[in-house]
Amino acid sequence: MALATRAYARALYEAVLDKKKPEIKILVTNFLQLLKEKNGLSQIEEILSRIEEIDDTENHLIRAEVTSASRLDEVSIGKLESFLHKRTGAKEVVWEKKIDKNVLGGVILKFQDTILDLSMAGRIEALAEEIKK
Amino acid sequence: MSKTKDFIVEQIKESIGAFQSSAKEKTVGRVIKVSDGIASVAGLNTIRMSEMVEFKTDEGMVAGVALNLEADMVGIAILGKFEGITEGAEVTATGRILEVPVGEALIGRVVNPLGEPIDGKGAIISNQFYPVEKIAPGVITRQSVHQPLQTGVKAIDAMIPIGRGQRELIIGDRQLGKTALAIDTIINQKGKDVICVYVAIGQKESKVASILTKLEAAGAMDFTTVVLAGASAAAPLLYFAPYAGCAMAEYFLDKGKDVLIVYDDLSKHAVAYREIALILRRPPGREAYPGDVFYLHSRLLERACKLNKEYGGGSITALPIIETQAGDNSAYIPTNVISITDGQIYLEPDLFYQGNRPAINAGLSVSRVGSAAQIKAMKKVAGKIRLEAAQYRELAAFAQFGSDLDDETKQKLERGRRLYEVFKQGQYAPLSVSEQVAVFWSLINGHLDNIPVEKITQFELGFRHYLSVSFATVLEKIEKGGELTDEIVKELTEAVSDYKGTLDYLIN
Repeated sequence: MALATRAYARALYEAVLDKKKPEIKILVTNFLQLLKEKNGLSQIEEILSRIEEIDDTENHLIRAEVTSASRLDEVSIGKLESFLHKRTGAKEVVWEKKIDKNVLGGVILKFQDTILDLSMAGRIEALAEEIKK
Repeated sequence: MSKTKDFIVEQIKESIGAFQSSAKEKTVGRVIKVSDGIASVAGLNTIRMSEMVEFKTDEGMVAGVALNLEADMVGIAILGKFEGITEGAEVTATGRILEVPVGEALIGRVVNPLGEPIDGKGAIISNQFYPVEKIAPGVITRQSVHQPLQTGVKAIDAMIPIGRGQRELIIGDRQLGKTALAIDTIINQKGKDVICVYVAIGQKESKVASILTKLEAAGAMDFTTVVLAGASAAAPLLYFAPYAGCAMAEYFLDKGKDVLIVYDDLSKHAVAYREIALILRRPPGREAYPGDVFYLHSRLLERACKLNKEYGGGSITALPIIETQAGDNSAYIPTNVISITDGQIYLEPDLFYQGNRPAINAGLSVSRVGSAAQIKAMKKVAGKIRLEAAQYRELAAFAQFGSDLDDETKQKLERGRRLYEVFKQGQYAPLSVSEQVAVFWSLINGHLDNIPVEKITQFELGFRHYLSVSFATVLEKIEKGGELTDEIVKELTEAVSDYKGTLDYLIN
């Protein structure tokens, strides 16, 4: 099932790529017809999010979330961005910036399945663990 | 009081000084589903097979192991309390393959399958870890079994001998003394430089508690580790318990020591694995067990081995236990394990209720490699014992019909009756090999023929006591030399006739 959604998404994405609007309209209608025949209409939401994912990777785009105690300046964001370029090979970063006073200082960076904890709160927690030992 | 405070402050200062903060990088996923002992997790794209993970719950971290890697999901076995895990909970990969602490610190302890102490004797300090799953030693590292592993049970050591590095199955219905045989064997390893590991899989905690008391009373906990996954533990813990126990044994194997490991019992292990496999939606096969249930036990028992000198010369002897239902040893799991092991000890209800305890069926029990490991003296008497036992079984069935028997048959029957009487043995009372040889030698040479059958047990007890008091040197010679020389035979003859002279029921 999971593979099927992925395959649907990939097929639709490749079919509509570089096509003009009227053509896309026909393609999408046909695709929905196919889904209906295969009893797959309930998967439509999952397929849509898959298409977004595929679009992101095709365009070398990465979505990342950064949490900090106060607003980050352009320089810090730039540094984080260049780190992500190196780490993931993505050319563009779409940021979701969050402000959380509990972080105290530093940042928590989230991208894909990875969390990078560079925050003061995280370090204090680690120190507390060390002392407990 | 203030001194201890100062000490604590100093310690904290020290640990703060040594503390180095580094950016923590975590690979995370989110729980999408939790069923009995198994969680489905989204994310964790870079996780490896059987890598450990940690679930974040309100009551702290809970460990888990990746079992199923799928396209968008990871099936994870939860090793601990799974009640606190919520949908959407954060799961962190640790980057380590499932491993347990090993080392000398584990001796004398009771641990769970993760190597955490559960005997309330404080933390286990060990900085060495072994992977739980390991490929068994290869063919060039091995040697054939050649040293005996004395169980201390007369019937086994004579007829179904076990060697170091052998895998001998103990099979039978419930309540026939399967565990008792294994525990007796552990107790008998005292002073023989053998490390023991007892793995309790799905056993009642009360039963394990009484076993522990017995082992402690016999002084066997000085060289024994108990790995316990009780009846109330979740299926994943039961599933990993024998592999964890084996990893702890392999540490001593690598140190060149001899290890005895008891898996009590593998039928419950197979049931736990079936539960996991069904929840993970692996296709069920015969008796609803998954297709790889044979591999489940073969890869475990293959890790029992005898290594050759170049590889340290250590050994792991495995005594797996299988509980059958109503004597059905042709069910799926029993046949599997019978075919994997180097022989089996078959316990029978009929014998048990007739009072023959241990209730070992001498006809169905075999040992495929152990006879090469018997000491010479035992080999000499055991050959005749096996023959006498076989002849008696045949004649006993036949003799029920006819009362008119020739003298030779009558004599064989009388001998057989005494033999089976000698095989009877109490629990927690293992015998040394020299005592066994002395008793069997007097039996096959007809010294017991004029003793009434009902007095045999009493005679044997008295004779052994007499030997240990008046002829201790003979026993020592058998133990040391391992051979039955003419000189020893002469002394044994003297001993048995001397002892018989003191028995009033023979004189009168």
